[in-house]
Amino acid sequence: MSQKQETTSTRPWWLNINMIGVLLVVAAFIVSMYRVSQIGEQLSESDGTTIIRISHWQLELGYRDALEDVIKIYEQEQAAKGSKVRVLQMPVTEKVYAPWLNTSLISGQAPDLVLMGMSGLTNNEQYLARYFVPLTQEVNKPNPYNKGTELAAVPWRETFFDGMRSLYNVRLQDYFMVPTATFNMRIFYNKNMLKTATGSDAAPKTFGQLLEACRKLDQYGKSQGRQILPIAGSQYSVGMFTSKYLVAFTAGMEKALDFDMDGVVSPQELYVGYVGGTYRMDKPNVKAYYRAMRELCKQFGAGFSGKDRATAAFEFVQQRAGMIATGSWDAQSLFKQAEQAGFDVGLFDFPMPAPGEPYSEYVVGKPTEATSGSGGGYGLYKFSRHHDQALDFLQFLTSQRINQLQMQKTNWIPVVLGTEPTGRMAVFAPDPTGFTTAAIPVYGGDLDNKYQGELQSFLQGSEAYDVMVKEMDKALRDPRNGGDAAWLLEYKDAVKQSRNQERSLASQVVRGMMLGANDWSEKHRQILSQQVGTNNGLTMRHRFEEVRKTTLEAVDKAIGG
Amino acid sequence: MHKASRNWRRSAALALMAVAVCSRAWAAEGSLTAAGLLKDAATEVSYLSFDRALPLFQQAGKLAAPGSPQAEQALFGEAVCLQQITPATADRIGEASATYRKLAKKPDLVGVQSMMALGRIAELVDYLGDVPDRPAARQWYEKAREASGELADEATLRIAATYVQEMDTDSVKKGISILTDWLAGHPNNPLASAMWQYAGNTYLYPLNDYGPALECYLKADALGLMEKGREGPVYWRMANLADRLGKNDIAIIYYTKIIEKTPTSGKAYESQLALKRLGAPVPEIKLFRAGDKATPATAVPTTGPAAPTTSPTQPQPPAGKGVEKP
Repeated sequence: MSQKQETTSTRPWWLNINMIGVLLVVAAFIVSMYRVSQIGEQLSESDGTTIIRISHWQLELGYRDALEDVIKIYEQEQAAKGSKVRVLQMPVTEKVYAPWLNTSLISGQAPDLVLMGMSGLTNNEQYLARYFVPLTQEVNKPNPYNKGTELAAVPWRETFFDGMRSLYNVRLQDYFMVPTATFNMRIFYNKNMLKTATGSDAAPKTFGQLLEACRKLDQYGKSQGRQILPIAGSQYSVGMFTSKYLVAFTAGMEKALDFDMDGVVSPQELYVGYVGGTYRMDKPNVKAYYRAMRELCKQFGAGFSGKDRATAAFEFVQQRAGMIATGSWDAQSLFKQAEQAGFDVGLFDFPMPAPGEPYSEYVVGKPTEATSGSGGGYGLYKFSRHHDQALDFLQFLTSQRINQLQMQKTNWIPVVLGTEPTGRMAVFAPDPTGFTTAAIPVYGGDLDNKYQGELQSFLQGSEAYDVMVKEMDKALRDPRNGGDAAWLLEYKDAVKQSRNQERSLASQVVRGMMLGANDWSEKHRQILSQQVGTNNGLTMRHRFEEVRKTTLEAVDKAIGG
Repeated sequence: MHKASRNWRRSAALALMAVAVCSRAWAAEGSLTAAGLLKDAATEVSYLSFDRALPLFQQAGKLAAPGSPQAEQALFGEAVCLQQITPATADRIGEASATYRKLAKKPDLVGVQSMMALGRIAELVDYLGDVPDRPAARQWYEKAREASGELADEATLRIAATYVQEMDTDSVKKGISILTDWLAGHPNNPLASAMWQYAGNTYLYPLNDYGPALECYLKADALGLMEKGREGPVYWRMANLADRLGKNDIAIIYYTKIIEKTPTSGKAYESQLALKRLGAPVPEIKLFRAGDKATPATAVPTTGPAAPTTSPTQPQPPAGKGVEKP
């Protein structure tokens, strides 16, 4: 048989199936080389043009176009000044942003301006200091692009509504990014559907009205012979509801629980309250909170915790759900898709029970949004070839006029003082009135996992409240993974943290001594003050012995440490 | 066609340039100086890369003239790296201690910083099985305080802290008196505010003595709180302490400050409620007002850094894309 084949084959030796593979490899090589050359040409500055590259992962509708418009204005204004500048936008999907950025940073090829996040190298202090320019000196000076506005003489960082507090790196005592936006969460609803179901397209103003609208949407679906989910719930959005309402129901417990009076009930303080009886899951307000959340989650439909963000959004734009809770970052996409599907979108804040409505006697007020930090921060690559030009573009991007323009086109919330969200985004503007404290029976990672599991079962209706209470009590008192063990872990972390601060202090001493840094002593004092205040974790240890009448060593021994 | 050939030429030129850069770097290695190496090493330390800095300090030490300030700095840098490389080990800490002990004999800043470092090694838990030795730490800090005016304030704060860390009432009180005695003689030292705040924290806990705690915080605030941008939680504590002690005038001052100076702390609205309860004028919260004329929301001086005030228990976006957005 094989002999026959050999004798009958008349094809040249190189024409076989393997050759197709070889040809494909060669073709791919040629194409990739050509592409590399093309990119090289794009980045060529041979005609005297300065090229600034800016990378981000914001692929939602609107962002790239708005940034492109800003770039055009910048290039034109630079040209008018006689400078040839080109800004290249590099959008990269969030799925590969981290590895792509890591490789770029390490290879010295990173863009001049980088949207910070996703990658560990933009969060870890060691790499942050290595690859990004500390911007503290710059942000303490006014932004020249605010000239002619009321912000002309205001330090750059103070031109943002939160004074850039959320972007400060405490360990390095520096700023490494400048914000462009802020984010907030609201409930989106299908106005047409709500009008058909309830007779009005006005947004629910109270919790009672929200539940009533849900009931009518459900009825409407049934009358049409199809299932309409009042709210498109998912694993992604359930936390938005539970966190908002948790503050409303439990903020009144702050005075009894906040031992150090810093305005925050820490998990440790909550645990002290739990073992001392100040916080219990059978307290009327706590019970009412869980009851309210279960009632709300009934509107999400069965199996909501198995759905992801995209599925819920799909249900909403396909008009299989009347409402959806999500963040301002999704607004443009939802507006656009709703427009294509032929319905109007309305927006409202998470409503609170009004006086006389169920649950109202347990609610102290709405949660505040005063702590909403600024975000969308861009950092300046330390090895940028055009440091000054990139910084200039960053100043331009975050000036009052341009931040307003970009965010208006993106349908996001601007962060510069004197700007405002566009008409339909106005409802996203953070509301500074309200309370801060939230109390849940969780202390430490193990208990958090346990709580999330129990909460999910309870909210889905597969577990009774009493069972959840019993399970959490058992978990909190578990000697191996309960509250005492969590305290031990937190103590060990505090000891480590104190030791790590020692590294920052040593770094400042060396900077002052060998690099002549004139800000070292100020930074050193700040870190020193923070470190001394913790007493190397010993305050935490003493408090444990006082509250639990035993030692952390005994706890460690009990868990086999 | 013309463009393609230009691209190939460019690629070849790039390859040649890479070779040139490598050769230059190789050639430059031979001309490294102690000063250059010290600078590189210190830069690595500023990145918290102590492991990369160590060989550079060692090399600088070899190149520096024996007994020169550069040799001394290189040795100090080497000890710093040995002390700070992660994870800390008993061997490295022992080596660092031996070097610091040699340097501590020098009558200069390196000598005093070495004394402080020896105190830190004694006070902190560096590795598994390490036990803090606060009396030994105290001795080194006292030596440093005697040897240098420059580090005397820091040494005093450290001495006081070693007493407070004992956590028994007598030692804690002794720690506070060390601070207040020093402050009486050095009321405007650069760490005075931090000292008053630390004393306030200590009166609050473990002493649970609200009156003196508030007095100390007031003195710290009069000097300007050390941690710029984190004034919110301290103001809230002061307002609450004053409120509980019935010192309404002080409570009103601090509730008002929260609304006007630190509204991003999240406590502005609750401060408004407190002011209403106390019958005081209630200022408006000037934060996030759409299209508002620019008035910076905070009173942070332009020279100092600010820090985040977001509390860990604030509602956060759920995990996933929402978290990454900011």
